[in-house]
Amino acid sequence: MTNESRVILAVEDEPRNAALLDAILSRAGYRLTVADGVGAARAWLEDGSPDLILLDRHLPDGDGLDLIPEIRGSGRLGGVPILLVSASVLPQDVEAAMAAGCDGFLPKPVRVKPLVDEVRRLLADEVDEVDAKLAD
Amino acid sequence: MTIDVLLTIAIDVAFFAVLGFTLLDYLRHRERVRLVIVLVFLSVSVLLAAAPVRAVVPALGQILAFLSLPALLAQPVLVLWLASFVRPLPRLAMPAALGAFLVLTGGIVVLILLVPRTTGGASQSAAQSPALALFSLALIAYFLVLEGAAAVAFGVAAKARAGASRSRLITAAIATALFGAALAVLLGAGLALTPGSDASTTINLVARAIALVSALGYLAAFVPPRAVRRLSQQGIVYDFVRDLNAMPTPASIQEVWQLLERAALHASDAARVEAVLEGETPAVGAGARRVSFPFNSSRWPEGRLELDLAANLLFLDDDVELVGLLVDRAVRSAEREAFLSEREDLIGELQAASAAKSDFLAAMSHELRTPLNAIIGFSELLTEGDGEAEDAATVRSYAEHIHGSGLHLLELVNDVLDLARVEAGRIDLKPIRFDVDALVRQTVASVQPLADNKQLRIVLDLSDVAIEADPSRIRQIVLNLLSNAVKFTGAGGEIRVALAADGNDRITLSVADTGHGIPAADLERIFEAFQQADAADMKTRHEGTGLGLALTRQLVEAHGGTIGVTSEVGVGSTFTVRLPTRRPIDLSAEVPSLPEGRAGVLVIEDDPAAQELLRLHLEGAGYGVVVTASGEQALAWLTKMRPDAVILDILLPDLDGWEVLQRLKGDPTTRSIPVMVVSVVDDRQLGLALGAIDYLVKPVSRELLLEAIGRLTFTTKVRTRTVTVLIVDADPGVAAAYRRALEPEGFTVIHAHDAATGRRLAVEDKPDLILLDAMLPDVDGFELTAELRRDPATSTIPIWLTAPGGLAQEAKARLNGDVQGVLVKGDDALDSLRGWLETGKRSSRPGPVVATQPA
Repeated sequence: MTNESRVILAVEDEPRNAALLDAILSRAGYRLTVADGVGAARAWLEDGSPDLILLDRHLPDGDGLDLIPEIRGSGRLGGVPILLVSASVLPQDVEAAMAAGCDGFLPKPVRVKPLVDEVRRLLADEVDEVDAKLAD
Repeated sequence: MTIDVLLTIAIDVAFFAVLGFTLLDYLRHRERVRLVIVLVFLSVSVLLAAAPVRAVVPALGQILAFLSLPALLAQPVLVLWLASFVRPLPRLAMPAALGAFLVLTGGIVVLILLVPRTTGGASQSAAQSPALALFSLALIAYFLVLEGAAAVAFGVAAKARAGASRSRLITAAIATALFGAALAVLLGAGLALTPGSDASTTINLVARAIALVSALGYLAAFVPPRAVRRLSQQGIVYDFVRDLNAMPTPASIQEVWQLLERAALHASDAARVEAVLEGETPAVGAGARRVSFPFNSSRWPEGRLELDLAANLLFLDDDVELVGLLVDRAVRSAEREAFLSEREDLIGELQAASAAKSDFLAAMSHELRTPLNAIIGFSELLTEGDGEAEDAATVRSYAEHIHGSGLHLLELVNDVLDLARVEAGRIDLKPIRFDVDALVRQTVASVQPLADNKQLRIVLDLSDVAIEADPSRIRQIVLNLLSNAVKFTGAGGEIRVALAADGNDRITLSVADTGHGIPAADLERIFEAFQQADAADMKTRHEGTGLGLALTRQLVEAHGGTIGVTSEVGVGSTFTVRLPTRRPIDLSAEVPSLPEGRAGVLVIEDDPAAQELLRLHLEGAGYGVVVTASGEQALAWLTKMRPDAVILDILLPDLDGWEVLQRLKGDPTTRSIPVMVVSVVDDRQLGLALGAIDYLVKPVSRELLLEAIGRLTFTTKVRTRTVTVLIVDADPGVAAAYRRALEPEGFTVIHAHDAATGRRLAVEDKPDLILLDAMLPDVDGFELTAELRRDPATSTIPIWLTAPGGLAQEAKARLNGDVQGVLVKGDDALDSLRGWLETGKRSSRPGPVVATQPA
């Protein structure tokens, strides 16, 4: 599987921030789809199957964390890794994120290398899982 | 000596001691009541003294023996009199008692004259004479009735009172009753028993003893010794303190006052007791006396405990002392409670402030990260990397992102700074008159693109209004309201902007949207920094600093206006701003008056510290000072006020000093008031050109200031008041010449013949000007000048030297700036002097100026 074929959904409403994610990840060879709110993300997820979801919290129509139970709950998307990229960096915020079921957390302002590494890590895990499944 | 005799002597001595005590007490206090008490004891003492005195001085003893019965008869009347001090008696009581006394005394005289004495000199036994027996019965009845009446009077009075008063009056009642009993017993024994018999002697002793006890009772009731009073006082104070301590903490201060009032009532039994914290109270009724116990508390400066007492109250001294103690304790307790409760409030506020600060910082951290994300992210992409350069278009795009975010960050930081400054009251508003509707139109145009994106309609309903305000800040306000409206209104909605004058010198601006509204609970909160509706849920948190409305409100209020919001969830919100059209200087307010009898200075200065300093220096030198921070206000005042000088700062919040100066000098009514600029702005040229007489750059020393002001006010004085000139010249002709020249013009001239007198008069009379002969007989004119300069009492008085032929160069050098100038003697000298006086012009460093040509 090449990077190119991976589908990453970014739920981010600030165009500039979305552009940044896209710039960083496309340099690493990934492609990004952007949903600019909770509603938009839901709509996309009805048909789409992301390999990874980059999630922001503060969205115009809700808190990004609210999407997580929906994602986990749906059998199809249940195992998709979710990486929170957010400006809410206080300890209690991080705790809330992890408790909600995020697989990773990156504080804003986001740094290029950490983001790429995290994305790779989470996608690799997925690969391992898929491989493991295939192996069964 | 038998026991009997010893006891008798002991009792007698004790009795006299009591008498002595009451006498001393009366002599110390000179109150009528105490005199009556002395008489009560005296009346009995006569009887007791008779026997011992007879042993020493038989004749006197005999007299005393004669007087003893009348004296004793007087005792009940005196006691009844004493009772009347405590409780008014029926009108006939005293006259009846007095009548009975006189009748009985008369009876005694009759008896003594008619009834023959048996040999031996002793009075007969009553059994031996029916008249005597009858008389004796009458006596007993007299005593019993009167003493009884008095005892009842005390008793009834006791019932009506409380606390110490009550116990003392009960003691008095008992003592009176006891005494009556003692006398009855004594008289009865005298009647029934044979004098000299054992029974008689015993009864005598017993009666004496009872009398002594009764005397002590009276003492306790009316003249308690200090120690006894102390004891009872301590008891009351103890109880009071115990009750105070028993109150729960923090007790309400009201309860403390109530406790105090109750205790004071008990201690004094006043008709009215009230703890008054401030203000007047209705006057005390007739026949009553008001005693006031000031709290002496800085927290309640007018606080006092008021006691309205019936006049003639017996126990006043002690009550006063005791109540004073109670008040003192109560006030301290109340102060402590007040302090504790204030401290709690303060702690609460501090905690809230601290929590608010933490919240603010957390929110700031969050807010700043968003633009930083783009700045750091994109710059990292540009600077890191595997050496693979991006194409120019990409680079440019990244750079634009960085720039845009940088601007956003700047906006955030500026907003925070603005907010901090506005809250600290240090925002610099630069009000000018401008058209609000034009500004609103401009601002609407700037948000139009955003509105179009969301298909929002913006409807304008603007009247033509102008206000005096800071346009950039008003723009900030309008922009904030508009962008909020755009942000919070869903696609297809409408925003309506209305602007109108409302007739009371105010304008109303409203921005109404059809957005999703604000819940009632949040209507107040949204104006606080970083608070957005439902921020806690993060559900509807929006892009933007969250400072917008907080800053907007501060700016509105800084202009003297108000902002409010009404909203209905699901329907929309309307924000309404009301602003005054004029800077809120109350021009109709009273113009303060300058202090009488002193030179008056108006200080126009906005920095409070500088205000204080100027006031200190000027008032210390005897000037009357009025201060304002506003140029507008000063101009308004100066239409009515006529100070002798104006001190003007340039940096003022409303008009700047140049403007004020120009307006002052441009107006014929204020043109002649001398103005001195005192400012950090160093533009002397401009100041003098605009008409200031002097220009000092801050910081200014006291000496410089006073010297400069002295010059200014001198000028005014010359025009309006008498100038006193001291002439120090040995030649009387010269003095006369000056007098002739100056006095008709209204100057007052005083003359000193020599330096010593000159110095003295300079200090005593404080002339406005000294003319000094350079060639004085005793002291060198230069030296005197130097001395006058050195002495602080005279150092600011301008000096002119007079010299017949002018002064040589080196002489002038010696003067070294100490004198205003040198007058060459001659007629023209007077002209130059006059001229100088009229204009009051001085160079800033006075140097010798040789005047005109010699005569």
